[in-house]
Amino acid sequence: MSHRNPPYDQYDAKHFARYHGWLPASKEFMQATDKETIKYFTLCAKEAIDVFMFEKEGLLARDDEGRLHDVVICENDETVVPEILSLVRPPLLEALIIGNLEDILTIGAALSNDVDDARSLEARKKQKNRDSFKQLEGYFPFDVVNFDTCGSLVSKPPGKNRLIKALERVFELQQLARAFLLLVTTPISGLNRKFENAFREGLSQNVKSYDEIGQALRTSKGSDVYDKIEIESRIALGFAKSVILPAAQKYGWNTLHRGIYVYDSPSGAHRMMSSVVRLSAASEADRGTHVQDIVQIIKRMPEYYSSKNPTQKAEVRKHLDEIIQYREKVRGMYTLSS
Amino acid sequence: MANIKPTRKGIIRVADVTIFQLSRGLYRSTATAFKELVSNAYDADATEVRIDTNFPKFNFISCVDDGKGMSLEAFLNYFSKNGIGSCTKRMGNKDKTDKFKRPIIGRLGIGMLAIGQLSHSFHIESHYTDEKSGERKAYHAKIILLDEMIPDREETIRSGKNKKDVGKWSYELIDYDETKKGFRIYTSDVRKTFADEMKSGAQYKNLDKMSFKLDKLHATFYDTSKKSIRECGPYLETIWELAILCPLPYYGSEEKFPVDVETFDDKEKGTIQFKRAISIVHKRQRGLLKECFRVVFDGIELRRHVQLPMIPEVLPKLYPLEFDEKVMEKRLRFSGYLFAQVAHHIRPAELNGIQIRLRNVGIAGYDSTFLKYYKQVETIRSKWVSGEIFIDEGLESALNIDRDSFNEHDEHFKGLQKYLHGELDSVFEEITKLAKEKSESIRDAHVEILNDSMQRAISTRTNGRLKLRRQPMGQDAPAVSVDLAKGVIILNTDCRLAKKKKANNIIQAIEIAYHAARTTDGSEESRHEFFLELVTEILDTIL
Repeated sequence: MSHRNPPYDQYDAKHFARYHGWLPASKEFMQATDKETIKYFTLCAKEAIDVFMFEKEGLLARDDEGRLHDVVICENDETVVPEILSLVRPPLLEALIIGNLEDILTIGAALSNDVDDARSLEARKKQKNRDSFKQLEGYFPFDVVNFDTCGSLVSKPPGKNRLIKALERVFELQQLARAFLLLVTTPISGLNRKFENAFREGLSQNVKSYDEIGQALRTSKGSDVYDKIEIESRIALGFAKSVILPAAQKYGWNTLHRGIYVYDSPSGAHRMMSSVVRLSAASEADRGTHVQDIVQIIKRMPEYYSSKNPTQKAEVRKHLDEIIQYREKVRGMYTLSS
Repeated sequence: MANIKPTRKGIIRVADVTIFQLSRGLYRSTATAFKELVSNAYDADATEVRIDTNFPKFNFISCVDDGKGMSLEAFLNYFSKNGIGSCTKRMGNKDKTDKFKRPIIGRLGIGMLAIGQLSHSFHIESHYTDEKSGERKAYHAKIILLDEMIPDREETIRSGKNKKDVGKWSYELIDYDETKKGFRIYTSDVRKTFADEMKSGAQYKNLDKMSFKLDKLHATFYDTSKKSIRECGPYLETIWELAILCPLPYYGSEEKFPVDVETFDDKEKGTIQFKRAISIVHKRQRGLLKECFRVVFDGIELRRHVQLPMIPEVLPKLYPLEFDEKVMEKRLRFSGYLFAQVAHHIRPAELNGIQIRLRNVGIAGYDSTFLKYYKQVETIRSKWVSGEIFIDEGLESALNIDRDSFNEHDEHFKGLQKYLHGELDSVFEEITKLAKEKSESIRDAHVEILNDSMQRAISTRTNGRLKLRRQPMGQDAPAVSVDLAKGVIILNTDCRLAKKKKANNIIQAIEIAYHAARTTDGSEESRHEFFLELVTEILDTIL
């Protein structure tokens, strides 16, 4: 039960994705959709840096009573819930969704009206997930969905991967929207063999079917053979091609990757990847645009963070410090002694 | 019974199951259950305790403090070795906390399980410094209360199997985290009844209007259109009640809260009794401020919301309460105040009565019976009084296990009751007198106004031919007489037509109206019209 998440206040590498990816893409989305603020879903961890970043940058707003609007937070770790609740005080307009997002989203498909015995812990857990799903379902659709779970989207085989199912459910529940922005983060170390095979096969087919993909690969990556491409690049590409794209298409979404960011986990043991994808309701005219999306990924992505790059580090650290400072200022506004 | 060996003497024991049941269903309200958790944080020298309910769903409860934590040894002692109710906080006559020298509230050690009233199972996490080794340690524990055992209680006791399991616990050691220093208790396994209760009421339906700013909340509580805090709905009522019960300073500045000094006239402010009472209250407030203890509920920093008087147009009185005597060989020492406002009910109604504060904690809310004061049972005047008594020494033996009521047969309680009732005798005597004087002066003012307006009406109608005069003419003379020669209508001030002064004034005024109308010129209709005009004036002024 010890705190499993890294202390995000010190995690510069993670902020690289926020600063260069999440923030500009969200601003761009807000402008493109002509909205004053965004409706945001996040699994923000106890530091809630993304929430305060968006608030500081004007993408989220507090009302006159100090309540932050249009933010829905889901947290699985109950030990962290009091920290988040204390951080976002006064209360958010929406309650926190407490529970495992995979469980909540997947139980939603099997909703039942059975009244279980409330004296049983298991029955209460099940009921809690049903209640949480109903609560979450009511908030959809969002403008920005931050699917930044603790788990890996690629370490378990596709058929048994509940996180992938949960992600698909997000695409399904977002169907009421015309467009949204997806921020999806996963460790990419420990790639499951089945995924790797799917990535390899998918790329090979693309190269055969679309000349522009093969051309882009040869120009930007030095080879159109999966195993000859640098590892992060081929996973970024495979993830977009074989995970995001089919799930999105299944629910009628067209994808456009705005950026893919690769950085180290705090311990340095894992490589992390955060993809920023703009989704819009697909139409007949959109047919074949996924090829352009893949070509863009090949040409421009991923971007890397290196703590050894002093300029990059200083830039990211400065922005992170500003957010932390802002967060503490907001926090202090709601105490009598301040 | 056949297996029980007959004896003629023995030791009285309490079954474990009974202790557990007591700890799980003991508390009168949600606020009193939370109060127990806050009291534990206070005893642990915490500077802040945060309670969150995941507003507005209320499906999670956490209580997090930054105190000294609960050692694993204490936890095991509590759940395993000696059992619930084996509190060691006051061991070795220890009466004050180590750091802030606060009076220790905990006595029995059942407070932690107050959360059992609100949830089916819960987690605790403690990050603490081991007192013996100085080592920093932490553990996480899970406690599951077995609800299915509740209906079996009677059967259990009847069968003699006192040691029946009523819950399970487990713990694991975790890494110490400085940012989590202290004790935390949390649960998402919240009882549906809690969430449903919090969600009920009009306030819940107007969430978008709900403010979490303390000044706005205070204004909500003290909205003059509200008679009772209950009108705010269960959620805000819980916040208000918890604030009133906790060892916290008053809301607002010293000059305004709990007693608004400006509403008293200079004469009153100059009295010794006023100065003494104010000094008692301010001393308490400063003492509590020094204790550096904050309670934050769903992001709102709580303070005791006491604002007397609520409206300025009352006649306020303040009385000190001080007692220091030995009762049954044990010292009973307390101070406090009584506030009375002539002649308006105390608002919100929850502040009407007397609140006993023991070790800075409110023992229940305000008792509107004033510890069963039999001379003023539900009278109008009894609604004008509010007060607090701060116990410095004694009375603890009278405290019932729920820490929310007293054993009324305890000698210290009797001592307190007797003293309070004696003080109330003088308070009610004075406010009754003041009310009478106030009411008479209002009545006299009304009569004056009435006379003036009737004088004007009569004079106008009779072109100055008739005037109204008040004159003592003896009890046997008529109430009103007319002397046309002198052009006067004389009101005999010696005459009493009704027992009650107000009724008498009305009858006399109607008599004047009758005679005035009768003596004016004009048709029957115009005289009738004039009479009705005067009667309307009378009723408008007097009623």
